[in-house]
Amino acid sequence: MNLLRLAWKNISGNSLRSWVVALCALVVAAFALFSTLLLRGAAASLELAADRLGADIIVVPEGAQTEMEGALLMGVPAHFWMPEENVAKLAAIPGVEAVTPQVYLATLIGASCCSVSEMFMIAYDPATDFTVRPWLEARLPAGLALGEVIGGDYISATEEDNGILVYGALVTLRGNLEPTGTGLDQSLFFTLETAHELARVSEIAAEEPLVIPPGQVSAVLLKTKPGLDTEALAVEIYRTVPGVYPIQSANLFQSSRTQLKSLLNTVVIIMALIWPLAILLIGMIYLMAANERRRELGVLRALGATRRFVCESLLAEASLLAFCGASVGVFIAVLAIYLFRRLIMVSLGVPFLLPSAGSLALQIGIGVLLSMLSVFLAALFPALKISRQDPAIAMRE
Amino acid sequence: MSKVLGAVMVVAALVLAIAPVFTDCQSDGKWLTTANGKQVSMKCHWTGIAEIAAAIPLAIGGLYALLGGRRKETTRLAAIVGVASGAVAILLPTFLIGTCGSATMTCNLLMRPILLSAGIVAIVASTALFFVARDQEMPVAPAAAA
Repeated sequence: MNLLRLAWKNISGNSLRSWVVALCALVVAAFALFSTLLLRGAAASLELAADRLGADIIVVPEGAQTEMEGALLMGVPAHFWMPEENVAKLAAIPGVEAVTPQVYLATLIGASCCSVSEMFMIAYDPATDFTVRPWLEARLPAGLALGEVIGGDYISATEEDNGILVYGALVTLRGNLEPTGTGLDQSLFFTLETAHELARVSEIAAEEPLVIPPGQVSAVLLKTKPGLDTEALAVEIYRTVPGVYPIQSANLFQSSRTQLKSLLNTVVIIMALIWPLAILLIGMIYLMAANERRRELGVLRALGATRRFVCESLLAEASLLAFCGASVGVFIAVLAIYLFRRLIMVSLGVPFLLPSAGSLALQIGIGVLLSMLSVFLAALFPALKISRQDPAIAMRE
Repeated sequence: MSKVLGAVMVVAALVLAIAPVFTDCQSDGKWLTTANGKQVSMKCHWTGIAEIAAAIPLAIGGLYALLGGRRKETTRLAAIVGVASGAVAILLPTFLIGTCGSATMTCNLLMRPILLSAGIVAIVASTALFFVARDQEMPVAPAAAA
């Protein structure tokens, strides 16, 4: 009888013990993989979102910083305004290379004139824009025309001919942007001209009209000259333009970064509790099992099995159980993170980006190996102990 | 083993039938307001109603296995029905009817992932039941034994 066959016979021989060991392996693998995927996905998403904005400084009305971050990160519609003349004031500050205004809007909740409820919408100025245009250049070199929109990764057409109903007007979805895992994925982008057209149509076609206050914008995005100290420029903006708050892109999403750090600490503490406990529990189970099976293993030795074979058979049994438990655990972790990622994002207030297939495979491998290593370590001492026992004494006891 | 799998199928069927009641947008107080001011249910609500139709055959199949049904062919049929019901449960919120458009609405955050999870569990449990039933021994009829 070969080693694996013997191990499998032992596993099916004591189903309760096997279930407990497999369950421990499952919990360790599932928790380790779930938390790794979550934390790495959130960190990657934050970096990508900051890169995607392409601006060195984002200027918002004073007091709207949190709302701005919420809109960019979670797609929670933002409603704030500042005078349009701030654009010229900001452009005149030395060290500013480019400025572009943006207007933030949202669809109505539960209204038949809007295909999608509570959708965050970003209107940009195509003449000065340097944030949305680079994303569009690859697919739509001519940019977006009147009535055309581009959506984040989650946005899909709800009407015929790639249409989406926004405030009673049918706009054409020209494509989707690459996923970022943030609120940008569930946002709609169009030109300021389209925004004003939507506002005009909404007065007759929507349950409530879309209001864009004249001479107002929501935010101004700035690009600084190369090599310039953005912090000094931010201070200068705060000093010279009243009623605004400059957010440096390096400082963007600070609250989420802090949230992520505390989440990491919690995960480390939980893992530090779960892992040794699982090893201890499995170790105790194997120690009890080894005592129970003393006679059985003694017979095996009497039939000619070497100490090494007995030890290896116990370790093979533990490894097989760990592999089965860990495989189910990583499957559950991947399924949970894939299906419930939006709920996790909203509940924890952090963005999330699914890893690439290669990175996922690597993390799954590490999760399974970690779990197998835990069970192997736990079973090592009992296996060594029982394999060293004299068969005659073991059979007599 | 088939009793355990039957219980899993029944639990999945209960989740499919009951979860939408508490996790669709209507449960969150959200309705669709038409231009004439009338409030109608959003499409996630109709997905939830349709899930009951998928849950019933799954529950019947699961109950048959749970209550110790011994006919191999019937158990296998229940397993096939379970796989089909699980597939329909997955297809309803994804392709057949769908959920609401906004990714942040309750139906997309809760109802859809719960239904997909329950559908996957139903398919896995039913597939396992099919193979377990294949290995079952047919009971020998007393007349034949004589």
